[in-house]
Amino acid sequence: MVGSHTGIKKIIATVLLVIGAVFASFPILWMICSSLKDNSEIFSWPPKFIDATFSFKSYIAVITDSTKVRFFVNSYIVSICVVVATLLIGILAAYAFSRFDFPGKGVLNSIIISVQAIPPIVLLIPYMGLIVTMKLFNTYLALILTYLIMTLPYCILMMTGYFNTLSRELDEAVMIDGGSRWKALWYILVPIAVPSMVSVGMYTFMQAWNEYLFALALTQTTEMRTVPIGINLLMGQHAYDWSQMMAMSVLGSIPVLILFVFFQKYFIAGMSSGGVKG
Amino acid sequence: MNILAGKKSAPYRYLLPTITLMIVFMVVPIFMVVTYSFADKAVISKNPSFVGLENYYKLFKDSNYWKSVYNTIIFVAVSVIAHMVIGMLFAILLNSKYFSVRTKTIARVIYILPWVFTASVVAILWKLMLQPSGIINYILSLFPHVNRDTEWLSDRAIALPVICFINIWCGYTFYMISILAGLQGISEDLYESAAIDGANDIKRFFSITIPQLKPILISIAMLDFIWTLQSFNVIWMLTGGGPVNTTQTLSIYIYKLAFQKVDYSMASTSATILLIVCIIVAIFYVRQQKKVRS
Amino acid sequence: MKISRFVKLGITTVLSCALLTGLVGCGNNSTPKAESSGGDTKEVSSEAETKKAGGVTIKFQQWWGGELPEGYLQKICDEYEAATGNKVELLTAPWADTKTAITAGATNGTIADVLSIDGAWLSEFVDMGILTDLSTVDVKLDLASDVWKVDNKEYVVPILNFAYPMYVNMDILEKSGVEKIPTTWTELEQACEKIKAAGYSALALNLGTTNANGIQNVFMGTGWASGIALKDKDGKYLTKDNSELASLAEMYKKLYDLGVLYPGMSTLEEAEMTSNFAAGNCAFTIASAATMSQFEKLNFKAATIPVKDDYKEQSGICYASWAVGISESCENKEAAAEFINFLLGGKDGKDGSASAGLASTMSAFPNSKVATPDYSSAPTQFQEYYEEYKKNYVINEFIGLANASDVMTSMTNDLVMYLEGEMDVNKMLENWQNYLDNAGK
Repeated sequence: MVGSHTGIKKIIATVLLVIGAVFASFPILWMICSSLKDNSEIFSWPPKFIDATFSFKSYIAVITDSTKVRFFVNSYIVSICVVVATLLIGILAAYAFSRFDFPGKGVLNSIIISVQAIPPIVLLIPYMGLIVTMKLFNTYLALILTYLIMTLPYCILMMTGYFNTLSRELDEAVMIDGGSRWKALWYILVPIAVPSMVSVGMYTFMQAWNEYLFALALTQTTEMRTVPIGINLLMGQHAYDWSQMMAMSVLGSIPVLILFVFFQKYFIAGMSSGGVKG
Repeated sequence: MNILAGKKSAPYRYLLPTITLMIVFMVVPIFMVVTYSFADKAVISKNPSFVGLENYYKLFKDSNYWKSVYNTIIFVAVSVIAHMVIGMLFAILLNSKYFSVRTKTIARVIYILPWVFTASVVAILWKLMLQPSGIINYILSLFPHVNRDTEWLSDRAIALPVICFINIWCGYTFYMISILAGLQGISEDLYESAAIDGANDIKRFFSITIPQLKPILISIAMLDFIWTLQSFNVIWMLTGGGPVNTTQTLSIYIYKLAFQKVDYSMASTSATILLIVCIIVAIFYVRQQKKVRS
Repeated sequence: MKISRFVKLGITTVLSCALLTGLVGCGNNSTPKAESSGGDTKEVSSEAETKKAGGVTIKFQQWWGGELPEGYLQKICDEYEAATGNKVELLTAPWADTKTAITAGATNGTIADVLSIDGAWLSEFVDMGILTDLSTVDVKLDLASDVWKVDNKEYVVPILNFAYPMYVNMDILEKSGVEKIPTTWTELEQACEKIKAAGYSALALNLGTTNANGIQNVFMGTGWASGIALKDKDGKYLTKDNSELASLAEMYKKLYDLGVLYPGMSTLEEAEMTSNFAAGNCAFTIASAATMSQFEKLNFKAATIPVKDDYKEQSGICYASWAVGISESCENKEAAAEFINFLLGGKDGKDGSASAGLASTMSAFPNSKVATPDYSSAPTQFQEYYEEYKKNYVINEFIGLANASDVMTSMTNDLVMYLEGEMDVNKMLENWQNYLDNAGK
């Protein structure tokens, strides 16, 4: 009796798992198929997964185009710097939120959450004025700062939650031994927090990688452009290069996927405690 | 509680980089946006005149604004709830005992896919799939008695639900991962003792899983609420707010004001209202967090 | 095992990077980040660039680079440099966002010197004071057949014009038993019905609002072909109680009711429409001549748009342009003017080769009077269409309209309501009148 009961449950679970997998992956499969077709075949009826025009030429076109390679390089430089900077500054702030009670804590917390509320399109003009005044226009630093500010609230929220789950005895032990709080944070808490840093880091990376509007306005020359701009450049005035757009998106996702495969154990565990427990 | 906290300034030192950055790069521009909302012809004209609350009156009189508010409420509510339900379902599946570690590892990578592709391309991809001669209609046409002519995005009756669906597809991974992680943190003992008490799966889900996950759920729901409110790319690329404004959310409305009408004053006005809404949400969140801690 | 070692290695690297950055940033906590990643900064200060021996550098903001064969535009700039000693730096942004880039740049002083402008943006830019009155600088406007004006001031000069012909898929026509390309509305309706009966979609009308230009290119394109206009003889917008416009709308309504319009019209964008035609999904499409090279696999023709049954006069042909203006804050207006002159008429004002070369490459028509493009390598369809083109005239009543993209979106929405039977034609035309009259107010 019990056995058949579990059997049925297993079947249901398997069916759901397969449906979920199709739901998640079908559009991506279609994206990959489209990137391997000729541009003119993308709209043909009946649609086929693989047709006679199958070739890697969209990928080759992207990889062999030095401007597009430059877009990728730029995006990597910016995204990686953003991840490092966000984690660094976010961890400091999260530590303060988690370990201290101080006047203005609630207000600060509310501000950090609600600054995310203004639509970027409205913020763009005054923000850009700031960047230009600081002579940062058309630099990596402009983009890094921008994305740092965009991802910092999320990082602080998640890391605060994570630190809250770690016992205060950990840092107190260090301090009783004569160490400073600073030491306790970097030598004790941060190494334990690596999993959640990985999860926050990957999210931050994707945010920085995907951002379009500020990248458009804050950079000007082709050497400073990032991948999303490169993709939109394929959307012409009258016609789009569908296959290359898909190819660029697929190429951009590969490193992230590889990272996820390697880090996924940590990723999952990281979010768990990072999942803001008060 | 701070055994060695000799100096009261300690927390502020840790927060210094954050506070500096936030004030310079966020609070200052946001303040400017708020001042724009009280001016006429902000940005465009060199000397915009102060008009007090006139922009707000004008905004509240615009029926298109209220329609956008309505669309936004539906879009955000459906997205946030569905994200949570689907994220929860997938997380439980990926956490279930029925599958081997290898299966789960592969499934995790597949389930994360919607999240690692460039957002604007994802929108275009869905448009390709949903267009009249696209793959979705083709697959439907293979079934007998199914209409292959559904105009997914251009039928006013279903455009908003379709947009919601696509947004759900784009955003569930965030919940899935967070919840999956949260599940790992729930002690097995809790479930076992409940099983001894004779509680079935559903009962255990509601009496153990949900309460245990509650802090996580509230945090991610709040973040998702703010993010979905901002969601622009997917809708803009898919429908541009159409057909006939049926998918025009506030973010689209504001974009059109700013860059089609070049009316930054009005765009800033409606952005300021969004800001107020989010501040209220944030205050509730911070209060709730305090309650959890004490 | 291996994986975990990799992970450890990765984490150590990331951490040490983080700590290093942290240490560097430690010294000056008050200005975090300003120095820490300073190595990447690549400032583009105008001083450094403009002071080149002899010449100046002008920045050219455009989207053409993405549409032309790679390096083509750079080659023209190089020729200009060889002829004048001035350099041109190309700033390329995606077409749809060039307006955003220019607006943001104008309000923050990072605007380029020469700007490529779409007709739909013209009025806003003039309002914002971004554009220089070209008659005050040394642009040889007499080289151009057409100059865009606002309030009688000449702000922008087109370099290339893209006509909007009607493309016809001859294979579908043949399979549907349509013997000749329709030339009148009645013939069009009859052809569409036959095409539908044969199981194809007939005509595409793009009424998507991400970029609402179907109302201009397709709907009014059809109207202009029959001399139906939005403006009256005095150049004022007159759509209310305009019976000619009403007849145009009714013709489309008939096509809609017959079910011959390509499905999904209310979110269909121009790029999707042309790709659909290229894939052989519909028989007729009205699209830019620039897209012709996409159709090479098809058996197609480019024709003038069918006219109202009794219409015998010249047809107006809708067009879009690659047009340029000079920004008001440009510091080297003379060099900028010289560059525009070079695009129009070479160094001496007589050499139209740059303009002609661009035109033949893009299947477009030069706006320069001295350019004689060589279309011999262009598709034969284009050469045939060129003959038709010469017999008619170009028109676009949306160029220079204030808030054109917003007005076009509103007009498009009403047209969708009308076609779907939820608004009557008089109400639609009355609404249009309101949008047009209140534009920019």
